[in-house]
Amino acid sequence: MERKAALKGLRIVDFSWQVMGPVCTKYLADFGAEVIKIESSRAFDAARGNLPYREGIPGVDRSCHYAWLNTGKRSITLNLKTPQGIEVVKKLISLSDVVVENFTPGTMEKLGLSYDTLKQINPGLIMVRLSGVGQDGPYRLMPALGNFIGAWAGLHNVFGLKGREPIISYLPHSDYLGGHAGVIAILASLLYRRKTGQGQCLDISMLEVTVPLIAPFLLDYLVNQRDTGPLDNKSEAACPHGIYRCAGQDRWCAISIFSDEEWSNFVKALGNPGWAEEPGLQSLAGRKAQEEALDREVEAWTQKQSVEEVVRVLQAHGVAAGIVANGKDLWEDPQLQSRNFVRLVEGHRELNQHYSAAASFQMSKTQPELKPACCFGQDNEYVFTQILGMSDVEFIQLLEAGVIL
Amino acid sequence: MMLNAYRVLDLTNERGFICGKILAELGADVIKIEQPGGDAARRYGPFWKDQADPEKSLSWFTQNIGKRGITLDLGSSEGRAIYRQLVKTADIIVESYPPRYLESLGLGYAACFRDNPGIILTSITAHGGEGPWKDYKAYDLQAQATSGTVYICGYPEEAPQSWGGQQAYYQAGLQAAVGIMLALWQREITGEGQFLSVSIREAMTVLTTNEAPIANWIEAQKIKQRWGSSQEDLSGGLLRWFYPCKDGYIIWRLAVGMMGHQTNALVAWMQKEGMSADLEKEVTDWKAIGLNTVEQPQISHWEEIFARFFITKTKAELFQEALKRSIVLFPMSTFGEVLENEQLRSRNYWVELRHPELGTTLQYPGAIFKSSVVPPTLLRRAPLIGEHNEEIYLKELGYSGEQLRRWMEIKVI
Repeated sequence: MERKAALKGLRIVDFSWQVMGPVCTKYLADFGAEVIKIESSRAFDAARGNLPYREGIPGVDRSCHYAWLNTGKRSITLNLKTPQGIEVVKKLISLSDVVVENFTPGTMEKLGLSYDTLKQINPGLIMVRLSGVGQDGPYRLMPALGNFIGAWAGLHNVFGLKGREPIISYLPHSDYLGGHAGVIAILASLLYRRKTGQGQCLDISMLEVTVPLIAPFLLDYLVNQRDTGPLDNKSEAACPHGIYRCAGQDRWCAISIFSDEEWSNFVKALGNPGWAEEPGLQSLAGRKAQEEALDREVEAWTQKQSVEEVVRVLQAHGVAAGIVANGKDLWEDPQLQSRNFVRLVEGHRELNQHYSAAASFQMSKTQPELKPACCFGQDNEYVFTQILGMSDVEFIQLLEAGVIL
Repeated sequence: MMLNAYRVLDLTNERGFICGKILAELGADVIKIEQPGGDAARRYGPFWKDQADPEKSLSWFTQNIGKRGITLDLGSSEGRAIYRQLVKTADIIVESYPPRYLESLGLGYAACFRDNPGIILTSITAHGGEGPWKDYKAYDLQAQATSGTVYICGYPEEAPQSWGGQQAYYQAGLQAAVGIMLALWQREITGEGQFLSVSIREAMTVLTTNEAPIANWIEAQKIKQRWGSSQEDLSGGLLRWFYPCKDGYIIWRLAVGMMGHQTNALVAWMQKEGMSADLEKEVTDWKAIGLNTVEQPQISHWEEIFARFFITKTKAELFQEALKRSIVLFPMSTFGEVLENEQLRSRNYWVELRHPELGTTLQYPGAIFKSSVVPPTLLRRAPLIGEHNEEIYLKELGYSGEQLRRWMEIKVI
């Protein structure tokens, strides 16, 4: 089958940094768009300092975290505090389709790069502005990280254990929600532009993309005045439903029993123990009523064997069970391997090779091609001379004037 | 609206509802196809006024908002024939049946492609439909657990914690929409549709790249642990994020290095209130501190001093002053506080939709982005069972009223 790079021919000017913006532009780069990341030695992407570094040795091109999120992008270094720097970036934007940024609102305006200015230069331009809480409103200037926004959006109400202090998630969901919303917004706008010729400015707020995650709980609160608390891996519609300790050091299995059929399969998988035959346990309501005691019985069984064995036996009986995977489990995971999810990327100028991940979706007629992450300023010469058409003399003058730095 | 020109056939259950909801938000004509009698997920709560009724499921409402709804039995040959007529009018199909179910009905990608070469068929399954785990049974909890997101959340030595509210299904629906947009763009160029398979588990694994459990294993043979309300910072050191205050919790993290000015501002505020415990003498400039060079007991000692200050204030007091002093600190909102959030209100975020049959209006979270030209929005509440049967079968597909009645009698519709 034909496998064309879906976004070939599109050019993106990428001012974004840290996680949300780079998640967005990684899709664009992996699927074939030319993404040109703008940094400078005064203002580089802070994610270049995120652990782990290769061999533990710090360096601007040695963060494997940064490499993971920035595959296939180009990097140029430009001092946006100089009039010439702004002039150059405007020229680049005039030759591009999309601008992506996730500065604190107002920053692009201060640089003289507001949407109103840019659309004069490039009427078809699509400008995506990602931020913590949106481009306007009383809290627009509050800088934010995904985890903070998750808490402000109310996510933690249904997460963790009752009566204990809140658990921090390692996953700033909000950054990823914003990044994915960004890709959707860009492509929808490109389709719209193709039909109408019109560009547009898109305003994506992490807060606004996060709130829908708890929409049913919010409606329950509004309509029924129910204030759902931390769920502790439980579900109203399933029992047993939880994470159970298995043999070994910190090994756990996730098990869910929704239907009565799944329950009877589960009992068979356990070898029809006497306690499970009790009539009270044969309905969901009955199991929910004795959930705590039931969980103890389940864990007494899971603790006797490895999580791999628990999963094998339960899956063989048609019961939903899954390992609570750590980094090593993921690395060795046969399913991820068969889908070529984690990929070795060759040709990085500093690391030689590094890893990154493909998308959660596979497509029959295109697929992401993961190219090495950009080293700091590696594409200066190419972008300035080949795309912007500068002579070598002009390029060197910009270097000497500190415009490229 | 942006996607006005496109029609989506939505065959999903709770695993994929969100995908169609997002496309509807952007203007696509999304037709939710339910089995006669309605989707099974209509039986999941919470319910309006706690009345368990398939027309009153609040969770179903939130995930199917913006769609039209018809009923159709794909298990019958007549149902399948009608479905194939619909496929000819559509651009996108989204489904979340078990792997190969549609193929077994003769409605897989190959058949759809013959009827409509531009069709984009998107299949959302636990593990992507192929590979050694293709038939592993997995609900949201298993998708989260196997993704790597759960192991690193929770208290040390206790069971890891998943996110409540079917978050893996949400992520998968959102990322499916990303894939669909890519396919639509490619179709503009080539004229051809394609087949997409989405793995719900991988949609969650994508999120772990920030904390990089895989990269940490590959690069340093290090297994990332869970630490309750603290976490290993990306720059090294274990930092606490949640602190109790007078009326709940706030989220704040010791900021040093490039962000150290925030902690300078916080200590100055504490000093003014006589609560700094001489911290300003201990550290004169937090910008000069690097976490990789500080011992953990030192960090904990500092955090203790900040904790003693936070507990004397309310969430609102801390948040308002933090905003003035450019300190990044947010309150942990209750549901009530989310609904009252000033920032959301000032941006007209919430969408009010009428539910005439309930005699009320419900307030829903708004669109995932704003646009200067064609703002996404949700125009209609989730459909009732078979609400648009006549509109679509009679007016749009041109079947006769008699045919429709017959199909209803034999429960094809």
